[in-house]
Amino acid sequence: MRRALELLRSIACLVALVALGTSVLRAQAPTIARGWRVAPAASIKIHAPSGVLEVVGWGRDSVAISGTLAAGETLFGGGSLTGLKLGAEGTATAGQSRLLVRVPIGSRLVVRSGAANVKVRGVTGSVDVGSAAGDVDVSGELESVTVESISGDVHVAATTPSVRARTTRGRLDIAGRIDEAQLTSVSGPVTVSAQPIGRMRIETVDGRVSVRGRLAAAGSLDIETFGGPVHLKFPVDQRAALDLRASGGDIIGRIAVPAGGASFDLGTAVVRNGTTATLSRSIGGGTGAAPPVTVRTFRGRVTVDAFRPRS
Amino acid sequence: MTTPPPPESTADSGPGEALRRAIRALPAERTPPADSWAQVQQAMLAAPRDSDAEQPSQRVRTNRRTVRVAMLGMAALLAVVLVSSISRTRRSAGVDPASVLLPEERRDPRVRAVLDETRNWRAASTDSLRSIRWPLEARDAIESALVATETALASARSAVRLDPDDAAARDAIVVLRAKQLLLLQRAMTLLDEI
Repeated sequence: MRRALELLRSIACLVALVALGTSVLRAQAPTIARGWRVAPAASIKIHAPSGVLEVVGWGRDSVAISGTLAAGETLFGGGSLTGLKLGAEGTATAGQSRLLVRVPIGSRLVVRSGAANVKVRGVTGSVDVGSAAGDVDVSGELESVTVESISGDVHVAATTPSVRARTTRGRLDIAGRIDEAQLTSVSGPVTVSAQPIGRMRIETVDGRVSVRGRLAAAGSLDIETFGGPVHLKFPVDQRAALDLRASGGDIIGRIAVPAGGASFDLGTAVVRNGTTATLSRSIGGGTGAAPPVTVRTFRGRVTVDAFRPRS
Repeated sequence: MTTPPPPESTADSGPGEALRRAIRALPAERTPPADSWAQVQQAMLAAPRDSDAEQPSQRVRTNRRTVRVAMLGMAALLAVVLVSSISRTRRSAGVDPASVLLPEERRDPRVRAVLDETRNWRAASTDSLRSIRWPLEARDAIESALVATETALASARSAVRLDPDDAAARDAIVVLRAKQLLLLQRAMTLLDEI
């Protein structure tokens, strides 16, 4: 009994020490809160070397930054009504910065991050995020989205006329209603689940490409990989003009026939010439020009499947 | 104390003839006379050392085999290390990249541009003032991307060498080279901005 009590006392002491240490550390991290007056559609550039940066649109004509800075980093900021530059600078020696920046909804936003993870939401203007090693997450209804991360992952879930996204080995995950997109990676996988898909071009060297969704009547899909496999998944009633070529790979899958009847083994329509497999065929019913789907891969495999959309 | 039975003489028995004779000369009593053991000891000391070499025991043969296998293993390991170090040395010494290029690549201005950009990248990476804030993950990702594109280029090149009419492979080379150039330029622009 006495032993159990001693053990309980030790655990309580340990918990108290940890809580004390955490609160001391928190107290040491410099807390910041600062604001600037800007125009509703001001250009705002934010720098975040490390940690976490969250940018949120709000209905005020001002910019407010709050949060904590890592030891070694300092806050800077300044500009005019139409243009503002702010953020953290310096090299973090301990801890992590956690910054929340509120900006006018319609502002034009540029973010540059070293290793900071960046999240942008609630902004309707254009957003341009460049990060060396951080993950980037952009969501909302936006004028345009440009995102680049060298080694971080990029996630865009937006309704926007235009998306430009690029990674080297990070993951590109694109969703939403997008009219036009250019997605590029070297070895990072590219996943698109847009609804509908507008004009989209995807390029990668070795990354896996997965596209799932309905291609708009005025849309087009153009995919180019070297060794990355390509997996396309359209609704069963999708109309499209497929033009697929796998130079050293293969083309497989099942799709709906033009009459909309039973599924059809794509492999039977593939023309093979040496190591090159090609397929040119329209799928889905209807009349008039079908949206083109062009895939070129040097070593990868192309798979086309159909899914039954939920009513 | 019991007298140990005299060891049977086999072809592999280590001691020499003098020792065998001394053992045979032991009386068949339970306790031999004191001088008998002295004779055995003297004979053992006098036994030639090279008798093992003449008639090696099973244990000795096993040991030798083990040593031989170990030596072979060491030799193989040494060869592997040597070959890899030579190839590494060659790479680091900078084998003329032009020697592996296809003739049309040598004429492509993008190749020269990529080589220049790669040199710039390496110089910038080692410039501590410029690259102090470049995250290691990002640098590593760029190096990996260069390796990935070079591997893809080598694959496309070998396809062209196998089939000079392989238009897809030729296209792939041009596209990959352009990608490399863009990758390096974008990466350095972005890294310099942070």
